[in-house]
Amino acid sequence: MATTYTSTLQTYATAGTRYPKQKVIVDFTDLGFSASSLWTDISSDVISIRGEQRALGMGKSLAALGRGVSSSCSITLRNPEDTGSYSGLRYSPSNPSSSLYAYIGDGQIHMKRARVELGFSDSTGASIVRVPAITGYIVASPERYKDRQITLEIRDRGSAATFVRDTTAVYTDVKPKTYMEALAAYLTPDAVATADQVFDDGMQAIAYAWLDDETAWEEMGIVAESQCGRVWFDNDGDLHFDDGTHFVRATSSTYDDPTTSQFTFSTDDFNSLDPTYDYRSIWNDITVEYQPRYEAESQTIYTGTETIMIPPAVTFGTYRTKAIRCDFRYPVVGTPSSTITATNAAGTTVSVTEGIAEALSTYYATNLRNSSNKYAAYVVQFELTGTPLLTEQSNTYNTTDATSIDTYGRRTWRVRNPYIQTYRHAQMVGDLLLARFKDPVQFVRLSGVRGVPWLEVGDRITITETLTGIDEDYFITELAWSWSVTGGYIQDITAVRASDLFPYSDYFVVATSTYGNGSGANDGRLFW
Amino acid sequence: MSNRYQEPSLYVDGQIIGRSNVGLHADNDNYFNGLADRYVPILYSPRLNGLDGRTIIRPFDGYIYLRADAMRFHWSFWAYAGSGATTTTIYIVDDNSNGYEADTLSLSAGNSSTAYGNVDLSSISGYTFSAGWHQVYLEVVKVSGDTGAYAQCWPPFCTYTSTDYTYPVPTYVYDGLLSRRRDFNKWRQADMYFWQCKPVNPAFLEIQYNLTNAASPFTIWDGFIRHYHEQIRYKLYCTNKTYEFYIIYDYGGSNETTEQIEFTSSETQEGTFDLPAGTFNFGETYRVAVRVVSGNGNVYSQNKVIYLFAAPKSGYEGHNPQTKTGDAEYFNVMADLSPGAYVYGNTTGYSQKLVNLTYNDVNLFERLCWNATVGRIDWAVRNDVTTYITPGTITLTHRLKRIYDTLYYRGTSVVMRWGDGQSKTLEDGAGTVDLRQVPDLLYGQQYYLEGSVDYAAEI
Repeated sequence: MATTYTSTLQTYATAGTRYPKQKVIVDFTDLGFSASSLWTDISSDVISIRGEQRALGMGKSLAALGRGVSSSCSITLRNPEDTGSYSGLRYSPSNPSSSLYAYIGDGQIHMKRARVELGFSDSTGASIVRVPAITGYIVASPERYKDRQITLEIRDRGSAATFVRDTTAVYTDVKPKTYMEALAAYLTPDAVATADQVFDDGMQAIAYAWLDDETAWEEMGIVAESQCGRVWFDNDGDLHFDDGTHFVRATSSTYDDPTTSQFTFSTDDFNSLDPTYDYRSIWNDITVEYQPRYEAESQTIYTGTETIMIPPAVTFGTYRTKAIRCDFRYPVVGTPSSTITATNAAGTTVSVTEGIAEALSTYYATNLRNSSNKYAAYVVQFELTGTPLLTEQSNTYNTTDATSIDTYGRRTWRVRNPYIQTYRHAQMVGDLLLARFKDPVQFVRLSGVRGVPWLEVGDRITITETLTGIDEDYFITELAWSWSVTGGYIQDITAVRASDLFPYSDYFVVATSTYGNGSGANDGRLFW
Repeated sequence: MSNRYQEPSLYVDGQIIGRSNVGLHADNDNYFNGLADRYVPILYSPRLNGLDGRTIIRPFDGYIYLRADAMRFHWSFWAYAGSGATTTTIYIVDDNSNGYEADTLSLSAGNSSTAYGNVDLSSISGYTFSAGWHQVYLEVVKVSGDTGAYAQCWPPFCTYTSTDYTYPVPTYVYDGLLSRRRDFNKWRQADMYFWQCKPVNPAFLEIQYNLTNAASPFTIWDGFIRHYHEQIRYKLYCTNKTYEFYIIYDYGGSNETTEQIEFTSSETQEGTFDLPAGTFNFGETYRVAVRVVSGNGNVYSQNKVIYLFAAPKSGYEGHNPQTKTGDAEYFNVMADLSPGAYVYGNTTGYSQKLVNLTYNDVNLFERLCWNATVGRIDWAVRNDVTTYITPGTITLTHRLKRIYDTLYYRGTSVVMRWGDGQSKTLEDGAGTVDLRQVPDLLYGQQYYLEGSVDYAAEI
């Protein structure tokens, strides 16, 4: 949510005359995200920056406010000639005489960590206050030789996460937050520090969850959607999982509180205000599939079909190993137990033990060890006993809105998400989607906004304009911004009306709400 | 886990409550309510004589499924030495095939006695009892003399002893009360406790008893029930149209209650009768017998006791079998809530009040957990061996009314039959059947196992 900001920044941002400032730092020497204070500052070469942050799937996702957030920006730099013992263009990866060649040469600039900060100073320039506008990686660096310029394309941290595939054990009755934390550990090359993980609990426990040679980032997106929420990296590079209740749940931090407006825009703050209604994204006949799963009884889940020969150990007291991997037909819950029968060439039974085994949802990998330094061991039986996870007949939950169908025609959406596994979960998702999509929702596009650097997609803002009659809260869905020496700092903001997503603001909050039927000031309503 | 129960997540301060949360508890409670109203099979365990010409008989021979959370083994048996002297011992066999002597009665001629007790199987020196099926049997050994010895064994069982899950006293939420996470977590904890208290569903031992020249009246079926519901559902068969069957509840006890079923042709009789209200004590064990009475001299007929179940009386579904008032008396079926409604219930419908979750937990604790005194009972299941001396021929068949998804069995040449002539041959030995994969075998439907069966139970 909104990047943490100070009252000084607020004062500078809302002053009549503003002095926009930027800072661009790059981790040329691979120090990592945790050492950003030591990165190289290249702000003096910046000519202009354009950035964008947008909610993904606003028109059709299981989430109230998009399934994720994509952030990107382009930084146009001067590409000056190096001096001293160096020569040629400093930022050109092809220039072996550049001072940066050891770090960016031969394409090494790709996936270098980078951060852009935006803010303001006072009139003297002595006091500068900035907040991050994006933290991520350089994904491209096109050059314009004639102009002596180079552009650094930066994407948020999700751009690295999309490549990491792995397999996990099966998690049972797992809280989405717990599974997300497990998945976050697979995000390499830059693990997200625990302190940088800001996760909601999730709305529904997941009966069975596992990663099967899939990308952890994509899996996190599927999990988030199953909770009607989103997963995303914020401007600081922190990783967020916001479940469907996130946007109506107050938090103690003002900056992170989705129920608190982060800025009020009135006519002085923008050039143009364009309200629209999204008639394309209407869904009034929603069917949600849910697929119950269950643990079968313990049974043989793998039987080796070949005799495995393990050579004798070279010296006494050691052993020889042979690595094997057993793939399962169905995911397996828990750790299988193995049965090993081995003989030597004379047919005498010998001992073959296992080294450290890796028991995951879809395979079991182990090292078979022969400690004899005289005879080869022949494993004639290798069996695994475990608990397969089976799937029951899938069921569906269907919900429709007759009024919407009469008005707009039937618009059908069939939802499939592997982590919707129970009726109650399907009902929650289906009814939330119907409420969200049965009528066209109102968007407002603000153009030429005096830049407010702490805003992020998903932040609640207030818009006030008398001619259109707009005077209420919205959630930001898209944020485009630009900074240049000559043009200053401006934004275009697209936002969706908050009341179109959540009809009430008094949902029942544990330990805050009272039990009651509406007569009490703190009586709470049921969410989906 | 079953798709009919879902473990709720831990609640935390600041969490927003949705219909999916409250509905989950309501769904779970409905599931447990169904379990509490399940048909309870009356367990076959006849009073055997038959030491004539023998040195050993086993009035009870079966198996019990031990679970790590329920290792307290209970037994109760009665023996009469007749004109000789006997020792009567109950054994449970450990992992290493060693029979642990839980209790023994040594009786001299003309004496009878009862033995009962319990023991924690997890702490018996020299014996190892792991989770899984273990043989349990009552054995009468002749010491001297050889006539007139009798013995009978109440079906042994184990009780839930784990402290991993305990029943919390749920909160009686009321209008104006500030919510606390513990209110919701107690409903969660109750769900999780009830899930641990799912009882074993043992097979009913169906009997076919072919009698020729047996003295009338003759006991063809004999067993016990831990009293629960107040209705008996029966299905009987007799080939002689002038005979009567008596189903006797508390047979030989102080409150014998007899239902008489007349046969007017060679036919099957299926029906129900209610036990007198308030006469029998919830949780106490009563002997139940089926006796055949000839209308004319000795008994010559083929007789069947196809099933005997205890079930809720009509109109008493969801009721506590005990005479209770207040919260424990009724299960309140909750209406589904609507998103946007006040959590506490903003309609006039009492069925939408959140406090129903508390009322229902109190009710379920009494009904599902044996008057709130025993969390779960895992019954031993008898085998179908009938080698003891009788005046006719006996065939026993394991019959079950499905309430779960997994059947455990052990036997040879076992054929499972259900529905309209449908059948499935099961593998020899010990095994399981995933009942979800058995076509057309629905919850509540009966099925039976032919062949030689050591045990059969749904768990």
